[in-house]
Amino acid sequence: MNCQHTEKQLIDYINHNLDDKTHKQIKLHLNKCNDCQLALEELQTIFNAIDNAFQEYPDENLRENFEIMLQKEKAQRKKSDSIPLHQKENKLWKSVFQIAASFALLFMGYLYGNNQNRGAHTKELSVMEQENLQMKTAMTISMIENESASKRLQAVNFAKEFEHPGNEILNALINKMHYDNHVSVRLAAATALNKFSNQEVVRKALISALNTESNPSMQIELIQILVGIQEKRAIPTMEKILQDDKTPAYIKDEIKVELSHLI
Amino acid sequence: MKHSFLFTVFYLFVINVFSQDYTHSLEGINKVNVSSETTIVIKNHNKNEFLISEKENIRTTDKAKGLKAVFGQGNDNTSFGVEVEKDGSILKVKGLRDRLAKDLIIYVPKEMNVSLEVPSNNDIYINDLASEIEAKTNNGNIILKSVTGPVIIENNNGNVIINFDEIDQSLPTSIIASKGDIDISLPSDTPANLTLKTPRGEFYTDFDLELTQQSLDDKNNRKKRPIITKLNNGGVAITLIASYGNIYLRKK
Repeated sequence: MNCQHTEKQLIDYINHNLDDKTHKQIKLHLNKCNDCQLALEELQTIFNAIDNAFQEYPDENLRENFEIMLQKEKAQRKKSDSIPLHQKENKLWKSVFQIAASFALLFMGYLYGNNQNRGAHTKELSVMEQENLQMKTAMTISMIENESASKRLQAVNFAKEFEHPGNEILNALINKMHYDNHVSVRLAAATALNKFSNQEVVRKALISALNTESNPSMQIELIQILVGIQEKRAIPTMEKILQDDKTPAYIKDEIKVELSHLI
Repeated sequence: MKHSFLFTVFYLFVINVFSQDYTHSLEGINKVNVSSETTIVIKNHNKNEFLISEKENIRTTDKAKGLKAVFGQGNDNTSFGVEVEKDGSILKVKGLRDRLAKDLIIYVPKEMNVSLEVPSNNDIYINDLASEIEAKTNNGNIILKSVTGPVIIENNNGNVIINFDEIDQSLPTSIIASKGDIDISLPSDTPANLTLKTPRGEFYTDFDLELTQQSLDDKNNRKKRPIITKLNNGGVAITLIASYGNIYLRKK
């Protein structure tokens, strides 16, 4: 603790605004250092002087003079012949305008506030919806890979309820449609994707699923979906299945009937 | 009295030592997966274990006494021509015998979930299980009695015959048969949301059904619309699809 340091903190020292440690350090320093001791005494003198300074009040005469002056001014104003800025007959209109303006202002304020409020509301709502959607998505995604086929099927049915599914959901559905071990899940995924067939990625996935699928029930479902959405790019795949010797006769017949709706 | 007690103890001892049944504890296991070329038969018992009994399954022929069967497709660690392996919470059971061999008869507790697959022309029989059932056959039939579902069934050329005691309302049931028929019996008070498709076959029932607007509005199947309806004011989702055969839905 040097002199410079102590000097800076002397005022706080006098007012007891320092923590214990600093207070003690300064006290120690003051005991050793005469200069600082002197500075302290000076400061204390000044403070004492301020505390004990005589409070000066204005003279009684001043007040009386002021009162007289005020009376005079008031009297003069009463008999004033200055011309008013507005004529009397305009006064009514003026107040009407004033009231109308204040109402208009109030109304505008209300509108603004309302609008502001509604903005905040929709924002809040959309945040909530967003969170809800995220939760639903997370639940669906976690369940869609479950060991139980029935739970996977439920997750797929759940995904179907989305109005605007994110990529995560779409990819999960596409994956299920292609690779799930059970045709029940694949088929449910295909019908769910039919709902979102306005998206190119979904249409392409439906075509590629028909290309690889070997279960007849699933083939029929995919053909019906693709014809339903008028996907002409599926024609080569359908013709390929038609020419395959392994394809059951009733699937071939189905394709022939459906192709006529597509071309 | 004392004699008969001692006799019982002795008898149990003999059974335990000389019984040639195969058992595997099902502690910590919630699903048994079985695949086999032979017909699979699942029955229930009161113990929390997987059982292949000697009484109902063939171990070896007389000629092979003293020898061990060796299969290329797996390790016969049960001596019944069956490989059993625990994989986490799943018990994987793989029948190693040819499709012409005798049925594989298995016991599990009534509440054990099962997933069965017979890729050959053999059948799957399940009797009295109150659990989740997944079953897949290619050319064989799938016949379930006294089950509660949910069931997920895939059958290519065979028939599916199921007699439900009730239908689990927590998870969806779906049955898809490509070539064969689906024949389902349900308690008359079963609540369900039904979706039925028989693109080439017909649908028969003694339930009173009312088609929903959704069913009438469906644009995709111009030729043959799916039947979408509610049983007893609606409930769990049940999908039945017979792509070529018929569907029979019977009241119990």
